[in-house]
Amino acid sequence: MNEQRKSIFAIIFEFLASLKLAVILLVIFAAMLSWATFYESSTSTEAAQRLIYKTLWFDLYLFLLGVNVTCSALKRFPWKKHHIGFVITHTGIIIILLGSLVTRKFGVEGTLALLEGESADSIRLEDIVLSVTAPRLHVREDLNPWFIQDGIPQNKEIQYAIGDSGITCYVDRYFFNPRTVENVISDPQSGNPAVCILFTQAGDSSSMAPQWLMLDQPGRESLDLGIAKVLFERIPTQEALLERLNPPEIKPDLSADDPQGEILLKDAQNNVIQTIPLKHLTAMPHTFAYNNAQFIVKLIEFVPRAGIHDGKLVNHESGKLNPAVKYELHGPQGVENHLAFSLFPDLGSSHGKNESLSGLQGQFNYPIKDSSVSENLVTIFLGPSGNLFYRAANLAGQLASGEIKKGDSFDTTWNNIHMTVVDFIPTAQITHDIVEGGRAMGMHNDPIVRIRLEYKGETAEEYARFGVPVSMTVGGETCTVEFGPRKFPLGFTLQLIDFNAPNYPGTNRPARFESDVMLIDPDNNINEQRKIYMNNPLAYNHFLVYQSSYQKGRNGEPDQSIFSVARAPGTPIIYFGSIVLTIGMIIMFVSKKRNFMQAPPSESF
Amino acid sequence: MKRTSVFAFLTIVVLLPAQAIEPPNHFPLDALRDLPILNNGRYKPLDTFAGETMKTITGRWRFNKNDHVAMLVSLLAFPEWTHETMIRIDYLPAKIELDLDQSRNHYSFNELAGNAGLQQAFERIGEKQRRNIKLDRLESELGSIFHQLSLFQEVMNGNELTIVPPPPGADEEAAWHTISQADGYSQETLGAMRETYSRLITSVRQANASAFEQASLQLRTQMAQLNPQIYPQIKEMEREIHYNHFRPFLKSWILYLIAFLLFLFSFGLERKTALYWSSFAIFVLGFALNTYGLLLRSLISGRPPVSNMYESVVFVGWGIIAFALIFELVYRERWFVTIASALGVCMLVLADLLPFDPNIEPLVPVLRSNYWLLIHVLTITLSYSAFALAMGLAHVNLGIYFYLPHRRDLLAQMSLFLYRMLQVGVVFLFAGTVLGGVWAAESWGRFWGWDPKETWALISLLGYIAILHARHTGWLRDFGVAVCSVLGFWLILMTWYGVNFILATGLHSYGFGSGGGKYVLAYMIAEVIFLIAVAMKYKTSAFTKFTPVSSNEL
Repeated sequence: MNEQRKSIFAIIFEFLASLKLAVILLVIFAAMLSWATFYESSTSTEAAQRLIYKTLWFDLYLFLLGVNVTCSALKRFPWKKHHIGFVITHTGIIIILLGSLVTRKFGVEGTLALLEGESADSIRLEDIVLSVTAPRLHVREDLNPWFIQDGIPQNKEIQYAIGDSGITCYVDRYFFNPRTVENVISDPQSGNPAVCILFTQAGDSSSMAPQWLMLDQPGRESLDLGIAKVLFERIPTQEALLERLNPPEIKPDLSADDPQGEILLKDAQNNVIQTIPLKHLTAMPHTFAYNNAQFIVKLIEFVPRAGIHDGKLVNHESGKLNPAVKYELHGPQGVENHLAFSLFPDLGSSHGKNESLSGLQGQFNYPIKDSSVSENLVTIFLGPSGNLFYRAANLAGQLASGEIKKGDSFDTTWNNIHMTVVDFIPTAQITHDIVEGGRAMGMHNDPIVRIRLEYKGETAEEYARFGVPVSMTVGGETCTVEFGPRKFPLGFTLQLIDFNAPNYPGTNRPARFESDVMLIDPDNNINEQRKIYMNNPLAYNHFLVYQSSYQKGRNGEPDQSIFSVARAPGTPIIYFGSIVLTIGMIIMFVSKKRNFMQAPPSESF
Repeated sequence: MKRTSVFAFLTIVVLLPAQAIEPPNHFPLDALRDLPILNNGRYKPLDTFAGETMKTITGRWRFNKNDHVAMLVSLLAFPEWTHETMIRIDYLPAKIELDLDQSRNHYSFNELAGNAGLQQAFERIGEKQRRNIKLDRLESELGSIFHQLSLFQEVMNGNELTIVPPPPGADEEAAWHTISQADGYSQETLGAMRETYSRLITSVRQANASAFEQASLQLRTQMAQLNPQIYPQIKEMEREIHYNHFRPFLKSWILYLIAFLLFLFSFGLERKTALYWSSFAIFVLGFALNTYGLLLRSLISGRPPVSNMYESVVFVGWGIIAFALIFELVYRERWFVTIASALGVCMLVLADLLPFDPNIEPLVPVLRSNYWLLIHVLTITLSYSAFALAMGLAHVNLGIYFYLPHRRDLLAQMSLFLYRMLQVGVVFLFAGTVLGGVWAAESWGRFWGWDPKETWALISLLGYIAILHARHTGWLRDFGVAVCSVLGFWLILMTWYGVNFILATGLHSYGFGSGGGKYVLAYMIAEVIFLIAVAMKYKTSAFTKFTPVSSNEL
């Protein structure tokens, strides 16, 4: 029995030490690597690294090579004199493999992107983690988010224990390309009325999406559409409601068709540079100097009840009050036609010239006495009985009001725009759902995970967006959860002072990239300026910080420097192994006696 | 931007009458030749600028045997050149795409600028480039036609002639200007240089050689006085002109070819004859010129001569000769120098034949370390030389199997030589690869990252080590080693050329290019046919009866 076991070991050892295995392993390895380079060329470096070079089976293959090299060296033990070169060579290979193992095991490789002035004391590694920190419990755990490969099946959740702290972390949703969807649902507890409105314009099919207004939620009780506004208000008594629905009629204090008001000319920064009373302009053109140039404003017409018909400005005799002026601006750039509406100050540019060459824009201020109507406004009232009412007014003083039910629509008095109450929920709540399917065209939003923490019988749930830490309190403990690249502390701080990418003279080709950085390590009293450029990395605390690329800022000047940071503790071992291997190889090749070829024995063909 | 100007220009010149233009080859051009110009990020003599420009536009330095500087001044003086068929297009699919006359290789600016297909292609290519989409071969060829056209136009308009240095006090990045754009000098100075320049152009138009000489000498003096601090040394310009005109690599491959033929004849004779020694002397002279050319290039570019594909092919040729010289001195056999001189001719001719850019261009930042370039790139390139020489030896070895199978003494000797060459190659390839790793570790922080170039260097190493081990197991015999040494060189070709021209990914991205694929393919097919023929002969011969060498003797 013992005898046989020994021989099985011997057979296995013989096989592992055999030269034929070596040849087979070498050829397969070479074939595998060449396939990998073609794979990398057709996909990406990242994919090749992840699916080939940084896999367990690749490591296992290297291990098998190492076993083969070791066994073949041991097989010839005790070594004779002519084995020196052979043994040294194979020892060199084993040392190199060990060195790469040390780097693989204890090495760090990451990136650091710094804007000018910015500083950092940790780098981002390539792998992604879900890190949970509970500072008071002195717990910090980097969880492996393996679900980013295959996703999480429906109704399943992944459970992680956070060290021995007793905190349990659950992940039940993972969205690679998320999109946020808002839902308004009935919630008897909230007492927060919600109304969903929709604007439609006759003859315009491209209506806006329905919008929810929430009465008791600050920021959601009104809607600002730019040229008009919608408000949602609660009116506690019947009297107040009546008064709000039927205010005294608003009238301009003048004969509407008189040329009144003034034209304000503004520059590109919206500063008023000229105020021209319309009355003066009807009598004579207005001349002024601006930016060392002479300008003349000539009135073409004043249209009190303006409308656009067939693309032309017309006056509707019995139409709504909508004062507009049309004038010419003569300047060094030539003559520009301007059109300004008093009620719709933003409209002029869309009906007139697209871009003013002079950079000047006109605003027409037409006086209307009733200051309560300062904008186009629709108000939706929630009456004392819980019914809805509306009141619509425009700057021209037109008014409409009445009761409104779910599904009804009414004229807002603004340019034929109608509003429909699509839905009304007397007591509602907003919920957000995150669903898959954000951006298209090969882009994606930052991934999101849903996390639940359990501790001492309490639970807390939160969505965590990639790279954004979230704070969660559960069982009296405040925890920080971050889903993103693993961070690795440098043990010192780097601050980017300045980044430069000077070009070769007269070209756009960079001659070098260089970063001036401040190296700060208070523990060792170090605070000094260093220069990092290609082929001149910064070495500190066993890290090597080297210039890898840069990003251009808004002004086109490079302002973000990107460094690669690495710590490879196996490198000296690899150097040593390489020297050993080279020496062994030279000994083996110069020795005349024993070598691969046994040359030149003429009978050995 | 430039695209529209090409077509706008067309309307102006198309109306001019056609007439043959004679470039002023007989003019005294030397005063202009060494005029420094800042072009593509490098200070060079006008001679180089003119030659490189003519090469880009016409495919040759000396188009129709005309002096390139004469061509340049003629282009500046005569807008009529737009009628001349001088823009080279030799990529057939591009001619088909543009509906051009396929029997020609040169086309006039006017016929190309008016080509509707070309205009559409430019827009398509521009759109792809904006979106960072890789261009296919046809598109990149059409893109280079666009480059030729705009260069032609810019040269004719004088916009490329940046010979005016910035005034004293400008920073090191400052561009040089053309005479008409020059700025920062007094009106007087500017007026004087403009007057000289216009006299120069007029003298070309009027074919007035003495006025030309006077104006060019004056221009040269005026330029040199502007900013003497940064103005390049005339000595450096002269050296580059000497390199351009001496053509050391052309001379050395001719010498290698003569040496090769003489060596072949000497095989029938006793070894130490006068014929052998004279051919050896020619061989060494060729090597000296090859070395001299590489040294000149290094002095001009200020870096080791291995920073682009052209230089590396020339350097591999140099390395083959160097190894052969050493082995010849050790073994005193004619094989090394004979094979090496043939391979040397191949390498130096290929460097000019293949579409590798021979211009000296500034380096990308990552390569700007002469120290590492010298020790890593030179070592790894020398391993290519050793394996190329091994490949040549293997061919001779296989040839003996084919024609002289009874000469076992010769076969044994050749097998030893081949084995020694493989050893040298393996040591250099290993050392070069490790030194590359050391460079990577010292400047990028990691020794090894499975970058395609690194990986292919390792694959080559593994391949050659597998050959040595398989020889030892007895799976391969001397014949098999010779066959595998021929095939092993394919791995070197992939590492050397394929990673940059076929895979075109990875960190060694500074040397990417396209073209030359058909030469490599033809070489590989020829090798396969050769190996099949030899193998068939070998199988039927008596060699197979011998028992293999016993393994596990170590």
